[in-house]
Formats: sequence, structure tokens, C-alpha cells
Amino acid sequence: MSSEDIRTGSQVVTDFLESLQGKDDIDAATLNAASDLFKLGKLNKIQLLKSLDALRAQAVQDYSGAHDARQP
Amino acid sequence: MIRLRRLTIKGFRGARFDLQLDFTDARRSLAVFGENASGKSTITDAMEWFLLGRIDHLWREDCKEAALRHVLCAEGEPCEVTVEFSNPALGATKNLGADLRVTCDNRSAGFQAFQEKIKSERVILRHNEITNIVGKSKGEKRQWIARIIGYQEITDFRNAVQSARNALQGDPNYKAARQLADNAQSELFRLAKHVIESPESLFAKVNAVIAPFDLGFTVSDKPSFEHAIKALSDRISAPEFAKLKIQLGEIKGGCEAIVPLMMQLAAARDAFIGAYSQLSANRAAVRQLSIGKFLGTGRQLIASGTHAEQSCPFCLTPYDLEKLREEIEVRVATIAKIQGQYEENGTLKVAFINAAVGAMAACKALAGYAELEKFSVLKAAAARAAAVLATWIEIVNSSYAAFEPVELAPDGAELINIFPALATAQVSVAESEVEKLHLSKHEQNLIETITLLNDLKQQFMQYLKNSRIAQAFERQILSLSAIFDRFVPVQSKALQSVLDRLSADVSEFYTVLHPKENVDKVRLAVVGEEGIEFEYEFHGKRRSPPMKYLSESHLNSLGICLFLASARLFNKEARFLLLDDIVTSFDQGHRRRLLRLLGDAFADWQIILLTHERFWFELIQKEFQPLGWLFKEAKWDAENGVRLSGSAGDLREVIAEKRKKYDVSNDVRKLLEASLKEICQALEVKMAFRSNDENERRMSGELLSELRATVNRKCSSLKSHPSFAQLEGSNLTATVGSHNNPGEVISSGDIDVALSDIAALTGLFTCEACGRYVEAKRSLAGKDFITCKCGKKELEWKS
Repeated sequence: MSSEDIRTGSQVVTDFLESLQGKDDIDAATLNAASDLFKLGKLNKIQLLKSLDALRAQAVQDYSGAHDARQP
Repeated sequence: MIRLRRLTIKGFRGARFDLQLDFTDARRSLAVFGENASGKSTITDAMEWFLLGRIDHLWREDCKEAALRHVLCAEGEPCEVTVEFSNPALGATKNLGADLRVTCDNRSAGFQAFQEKIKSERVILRHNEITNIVGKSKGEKRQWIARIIGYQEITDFRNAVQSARNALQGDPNYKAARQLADNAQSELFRLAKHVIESPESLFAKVNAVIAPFDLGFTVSDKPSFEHAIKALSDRISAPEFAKLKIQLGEIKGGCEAIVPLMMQLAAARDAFIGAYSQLSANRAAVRQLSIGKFLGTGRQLIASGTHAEQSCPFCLTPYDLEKLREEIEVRVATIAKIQGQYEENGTLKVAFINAAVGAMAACKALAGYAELEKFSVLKAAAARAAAVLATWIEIVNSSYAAFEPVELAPDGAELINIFPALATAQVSVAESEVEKLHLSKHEQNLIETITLLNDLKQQFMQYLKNSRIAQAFERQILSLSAIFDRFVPVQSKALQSVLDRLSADVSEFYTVLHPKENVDKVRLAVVGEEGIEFEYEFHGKRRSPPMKYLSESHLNSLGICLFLASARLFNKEARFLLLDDIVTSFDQGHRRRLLRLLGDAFADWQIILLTHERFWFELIQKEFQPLGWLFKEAKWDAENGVRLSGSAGDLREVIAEKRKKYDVSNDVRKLLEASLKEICQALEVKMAFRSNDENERRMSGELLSELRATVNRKCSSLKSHPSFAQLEGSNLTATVGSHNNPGEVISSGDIDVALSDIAALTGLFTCEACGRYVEAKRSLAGKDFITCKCGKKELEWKS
């Protein structure tokens, strides 16, 4: 018996994150933030919250820009 | 995969001088016998320190680097471990200086990577760790196995997602945005008499409001909205009056709005400060919050049985463990109560901060409106109040985070307290000023419409901004929840799949060790969300946990099986195992089965077995000598520390190293004894019978005398050879200088002579080609000659 066909912890998480792409109930940007940090080996609560914070700021800004003309 | 080529230990733990294990170019397996306290575990300690940078059983007791240097190791002498591997690029010497600084002569990236990888591999198993494996709690087993199989990343991923989601849910910015959006929506409802949530619904309302004025266009975007305001303003005949009226209206509205905000602020402030000052007054109690986690860890440690000694698990001060546990429980309960109060105050604090932020924004707006000379006092007071509130927010946030009491300056508090009265008075002033303006009904109608449109716009933008922020939070919270919920079953399934593979080996090994004992089908299973436990069939029924029915010997077997299975399945670098005294509770039958298991399932592994049991060692010799295993004996004495084997060859190395600095008379005597024993054994010299250990304690004189008599009888060419007489003299010199006569010291020249005489005698019986003695058992057929193993040296030997 060998360990060749046993998935490592990293593989399990990577495969899982890939399986979530395109799911309707998961925000793509949030998923990508977690995936990117995991690939870099930097996924922890603090780093994830930092990324999500930046994403929210960007999302609010993008929305305002895109809808500026329609607002009063 | 990597095997060991050579291990050299010097000045480390029990090894004072060079302690070398040469596994040969074939990287052979090795068994080491040593009585208890012979220092054989120095080998295990050295390997553990070299591979992992720590020695777990010492580090747990807070005995770290200071416990590693040999007690007689002087400042300039090395304390080092050198390991050569089958891959020469990974060889290195780790040195521990007198200042306890660790250095390593191999700084290559390859060596660093190897060290990092091997940390999670199973290489060393000591007796006291075997039952620890089985006796771990379910959660600890999960941690242990997760570390071996690299599944810590899975746990870390899950924890990161879960804790980030929880943090977002409690984020004050999220709560504030949600609250401000709700407030703005309420205000919009008051102004429009219905819900307005989109630009479309806002524009519909605006078009309804401006319809009576028949502007000739409808509002559908920002430019048309501004166009409508301008068109309405253009219809006012006295625009300066209109502007003034709007300004006064803004001041009046601002003053009216700020009164309830300031009252809410005062109530929120009093609620928070009142509750928090009680808590923060007991600063000693509040500061305990910071050690809550520490105590929780201690409680867990004691409950799990990991720390079983009667001492504090952290500082190791002797203490009754049960008493300590009770004291920790009391302190944890107290801290939990304080934590509850602290969290309750946290809610009050958020309410206060939100009220302060709202009031500050209103003050800033009012300071901006009040451009008229008549309202200069209001303008100044509003600006000052905004500055006071900004300071308050900063003080409350920083004091609360540091568990410090909150102290708000009294003059600022006075201003905030009197501000509602000031604002109320300004409402009357603004109304009186409006009355002085003579505007027609139509113009007043236009101004009120413009004010309404501006208010709708302001509230809608406030609603829009904060609802976007809240939605961004909610999108992330829901996404993280969905990721977490989907991951939990994936995690368990992945872990169980690995456990199934591992269980197959554990069960197979266990059955080899304990056949036909009604315990089989051993399996590791995920239990709940956080645990792993053994299951097995006992007399045909599934049982768990192992402690329920298994004896100590069976539990030991289970621990060994799990270790071996995990090493075989998951080790990617190390193809060697170091098993230190692992069969203490095994009976003979199970020991032989363990040997068979190692011989069969680990035939292509390099194994180092250490034992203090002579019989077990001899059993290993019988079973594994034909397979090419090496065998050594560890011996210890206070002067030299741990040595291996005590063979003449090893002693010669010790003497060569030691005589540079120390007296070696005693070692020369031991060398002479060892050499004579080896020659006597090879030539089958007959000695008077002595029982047990007495047989080993023969003096050199007796050995030399019997050897000489035998040689005189059987070998005419060596009869009366001068080497015997010379050795008699050296024997006398060595005995005089040895510890048997501590007052005497022999000279370096005498040592040289003695070593030379010993070499001369052994040379008579040693083959230069193979380095082995001629042996009485290797007689040449039909001749009175014996030979060495290779056959190149022959010696006359009468039968």
C-alpha cells in the first residue's frame, strides 16, 4: 500500500475550492480571496478579513461609479 | 528515500567522547543493547535533536539546550551531532556552543527543505510515547494524525473561514451601516409616505411632487434632478429671499433634528459609562481577561492527562494537581463572569459609538448650514461639539480595548449637555427670521418643494451608501457560511478516506502481532466533528475505545502498529526508524511476532532498535544477524560517558581521542583486557569455570597466562614469543596506573609502549587482509592449521 493516491490536505482544500467556482450562493470575489490566500499559504483569519475589507471598499466604490448617473 | 550512513555524537548528553554508529555503505539496520542508565537513549536524543531541533521529553519539562551538553564538556570542547545520510548533500553537523547557541554547517536549501519535511514524518518511537498515542483524547488523536498526514492545512482552512465569518457578523461597521440605512429608510418613509429603495421609486416620488408645477419634463437621473431644482428656483421672484428662507429652514430643521440625537447620545453615554466604570474599577479582575485563554489551556492540559505530574504544567512548581485543577476552575468561572459583563458592555459601547457618530455628523452639518451672522454662536458650538464627539469616540475605543477606565473631559460633557437647549432656542430664532421674509404663498410652496427634494436626496443617498456597505458584508457572510457548511462534510470524508487506508495497515499489523486473540478489524474512525478514535471487534462485537477491553500489552501493540502504519504510508523522506525500548510490556511470543513484522513489512527499511533487555537483544541477533544487521552494546562509566560495544577497536578510538587531554591508563588496561578476551574467544582458550558475570570479570593476567599456555601447546612457531613477555610488563604498567591504583600516574612513553605491545600481540593473530582474528573453528582439513574468515592468514594449531 502506498500513499501515492492519498490526497494531501492541500489537495483536498484546493479541489474543494475549485468545486465551488460558479456556485450561485457563493460570491466569486469572496471565494477568490480565500483561494488566492490559500495558494500563497497565507490563509488565516486576519489575512482573510483584510482581503474582504478591501473587496467591500472596492465593491461599494464600483457600484457608486457605475450607478452615479442614475442617482439623484 | 533517505537512510542513515553514519551517526557521530560528541559531548552530547551521555556521550563524552566520539560515539559513532557506522551503518556501512549498505546503510544496514542496527540493534543496540544497553543496561538501564547505560545512556543508549543518547542516540535517540541526538537523532531527535538533529532532525527536529528539540527533544520532546526534555522540552516538555523545560529542560532545553542547557541539558544537552555533557556535564564534563569544557567550554572549548564541542557538543555536536553529525549525521551522514545516503544522500551526501544532506549530511550536517549540528553544534551546541557553550553559550547554548545552535549552529549547523549545512545551510543549503536542500537541507533546509529536508528538515522542514521530516518534522511531520514518523521516525522515532520511544516506549513512553506508545501508550500516549493510544491514550490521547479523540481531539488530540485528530491533531496528531492531522499533523502526520499534513491535514493541519484542512483544519487551518476551516478555522480561518469560520472565524472570519464570525468576525464579520460582529463587525461594528456592519452593525452601524445596517442601523444608519434603517434610520435613513425611516426618514424617507416619513418624507415620501412610502418605502423608497431604488432610484426609480425616488424619481417617481420626485415627479409626483413637481407635477403641479408643470416643468415640462420628468426627472429620471441626476442631471434632470438638478434641472428640476434649478427650474423651481428660477420661478422664485426674489431669489436672495428664497435662498435665505432655505438656509433658515435648514438651520431650523438641523436644530430640531439634533435635539433627539443629543438626548439619545446622553442616554447611551450614561448607560455605557455607568456599566463600564463598575467593571473597569476592578482593574485586577478585568486584567484577568487576558489570562483567560492561558488558564483554559492549563485546564485542558490537566483534564487530558497529558500533564500527570503533581506540579503546575507551566512553571513545574510542585503542586497538588487536583487542588490546582479546582483553583483553575474557580478562576475560569470568575473570568467567564467578567467576560460576560465585558461583552454586555461591548453592546452598550457600540450603541454609544453609533450615537456619537450620528450626533457628530449632525453637528458638522449644522456648522456648515449656519453661515448667517445671527447664528455664529450656534455655528461655533456645533463645530466644537463635533470635535468633542470625535475625541470621545477615540477615547472610548482605545480605553475599552486596553481594559482601562473611560475618562471624558468635563467641559466637553457640559457642552454636549447644554447643546439641546441651545439648539431649541435657535429654532425659535430661525422661525422668527422666516416670518420677517415676505414671500407669496406660491413662492413659499416652491421653497418647501425644493427643501423636500433636497431632503429626499440626502436621505436616499444616506440609505444607498449604508445599505451598499451592509449588503457587501452580508454577501461575504453568506458566502463564508456556504463555504464552511459545504466544507465540513468534505473534510470528514477526506479524513475518513485516509483513516481507512491507515486502518488497513494498522489492522493487518495488529493481527500479525495478536493472531487468534478475538481482537481484530481494528479501524480508526472520525468521531463527531473534532475527534478520531480506534474501533475494533472484540469477540465479534464492535467496541470502542481501546481502553475498554484491551490489556496494557495490547494497547502497546496498537500504538506500535499505528506508528509503523503511519510511517510506512506517509513518510516521504525518511526510510529509517528508530525504535527505543518499545517492547517493555511484551511477552516473548509477541516480541518474536514483532520481529517477524519488522522483517516482513519493513524489510526494505533501515531500523535502529534500542533495548535494555538482554534476552530480547539476543533474540534480535538470532533473527536478524543473517539479514545483515549490525549489533552494538552501549556501556557507560562516569569517566568516559557512553561508549559502544567495548570492543578493542572502539577502545583504541577512544584512547586516541582522549589521550590528547586526559589520562588513559585505565582505558589501556581495558583495551588489554578486551583484546585478550577477543583473542581467547577466537582461539577457544579454555578457562576455569565461573558463573554468570564473574566470567566476564577476568583480569588480564589470568587471560594472558591461559592464552600463553594454550599457544605453547598448540603453536610451536609462537612458543615463547617475546610479545607475551613484553605484554606481561605492559599489563603491570597499565594495572599500576589504572584506577585500581589512583595514586599512580604512568608516563606518556609507557602508554606508547603498552599500546605498541598490545598491537604486536593482536597482530600475531590478525589477518592484514580482512582485519579478523584466526579462529579455532576454522581449521584446515587434514592440516594442523587454522585460518581467518578470508583464509589469507594461516596459523599452525595442533588439534
